[in-house]
Amino acid sequence: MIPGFHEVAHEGLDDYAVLLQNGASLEPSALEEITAVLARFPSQLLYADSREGGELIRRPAFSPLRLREQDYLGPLRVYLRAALDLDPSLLTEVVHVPRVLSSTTTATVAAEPADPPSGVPERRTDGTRRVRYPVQGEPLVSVIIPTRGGAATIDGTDRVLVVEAVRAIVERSSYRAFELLVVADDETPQAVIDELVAVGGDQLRLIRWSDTFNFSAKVNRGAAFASGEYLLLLNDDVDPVSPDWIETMLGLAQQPGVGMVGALLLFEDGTVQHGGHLYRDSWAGHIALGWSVNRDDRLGSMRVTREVSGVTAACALLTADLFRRIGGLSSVFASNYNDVDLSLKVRSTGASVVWTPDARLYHFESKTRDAAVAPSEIAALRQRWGSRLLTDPYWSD
Amino acid sequence: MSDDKNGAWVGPESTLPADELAARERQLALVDRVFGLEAQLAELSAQNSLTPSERLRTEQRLIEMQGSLAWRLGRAATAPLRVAQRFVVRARAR
Repeated sequence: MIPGFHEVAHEGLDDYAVLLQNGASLEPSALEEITAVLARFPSQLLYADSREGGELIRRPAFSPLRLREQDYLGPLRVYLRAALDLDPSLLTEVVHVPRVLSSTTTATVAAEPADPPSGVPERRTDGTRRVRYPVQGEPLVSVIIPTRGGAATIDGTDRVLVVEAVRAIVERSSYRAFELLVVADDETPQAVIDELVAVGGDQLRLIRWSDTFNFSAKVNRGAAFASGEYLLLLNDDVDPVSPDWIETMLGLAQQPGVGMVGALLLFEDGTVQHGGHLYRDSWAGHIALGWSVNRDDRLGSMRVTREVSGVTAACALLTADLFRRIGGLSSVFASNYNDVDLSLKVRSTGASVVWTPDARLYHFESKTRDAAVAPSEIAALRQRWGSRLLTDPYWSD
Repeated sequence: MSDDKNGAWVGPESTLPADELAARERQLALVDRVFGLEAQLAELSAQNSLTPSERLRTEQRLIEMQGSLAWRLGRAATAPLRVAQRFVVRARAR
């Protein structure tokens, strides 16, 4: 029995234990709804949205890595009795009911998650729990950076973006087994190339791009040259904040069932640029776009590693094998949505996409950037993935 | 530092034989094409490809939409048309 919970008597659900947080109450039709859902979808665990102190708390679809850091299941859990003593993060048949089935007058008491089967639990500075997954072995990571050698003024200083990105990786990243594949347009200034060679040293490989612009094809060109076991797709306008960003992402990517890993990206002013992708109402955007880095949702989603619908290709790590098995980035999407398509391709293999706040980078994209979206790109995205873009299983606010 | 006559950069460039590079890129494009077609096929039977949680969420969104003021106003505004259509269908069936 979970501390702070009691079992509710019920009829017709003999194989299941209906556990309710002490002090919580079931909605009048809750048991009927639970019975109906389990009749349609027999599961090892069922949980639902709730009302806490009058506030509606929507919960994400089953997120096992998140569950290792944060008990987000709420005041009502219906367990198959045979699964009651198992680590919930290891269950395979879990259903979330997106309806309010229970209420409490106070916030749910979150249970301390069980020790994870892999990884080392520790406390973040804000008191939340982090599970750190040590990297197995020392696999080579191929960092693919498409560029045309552009410059920008950051924090009052003019800088060539790709040079500073490469410098930051070389000088400040604690993980050392990487190669840098810079795919540079023909038009890249010669001075930028020379500086890249000086900064990147032996770890740099320069690859020429002479064709018309196609972001996806440029990344695929880099992947064609990559010799690493893992590919790290990276924009040229990023700057890592966390020295251990590569091993944080790599450790997560090595977990069973994980397909691709993304990071917390911040605008130059420190507000959030990317907290994972959000797919809703046939559209794709970024979670927490423009939020203060201290802002959060009701569940505290920005402070934990969690499953998401997708992540931006501005910083995404996956195995080279998976990248090749799913056909890389689709050149149908020359400018936009190539990462949305990539994420959905990853998930269509049954693997998950994970975002972590523990790998943090600046992304010097303009806050007011209004990317020109070709109608053909959005049409192609909807044609491929229409039903996947209607509601987001992992983000409800 | 010197630009070549076309203005393209020069440097220690990684290269692959042209046919090998083309084959690798073509392989990615072909696999992507297959994935795209499979995804479109799955869209035609979307109900079967959604997880239980996704199906429940989609059903809930439908319930919420049908309970919205905009939906009810729309239904009310188009009610005369639907009644008229029913008459037309019955008249044609006679």
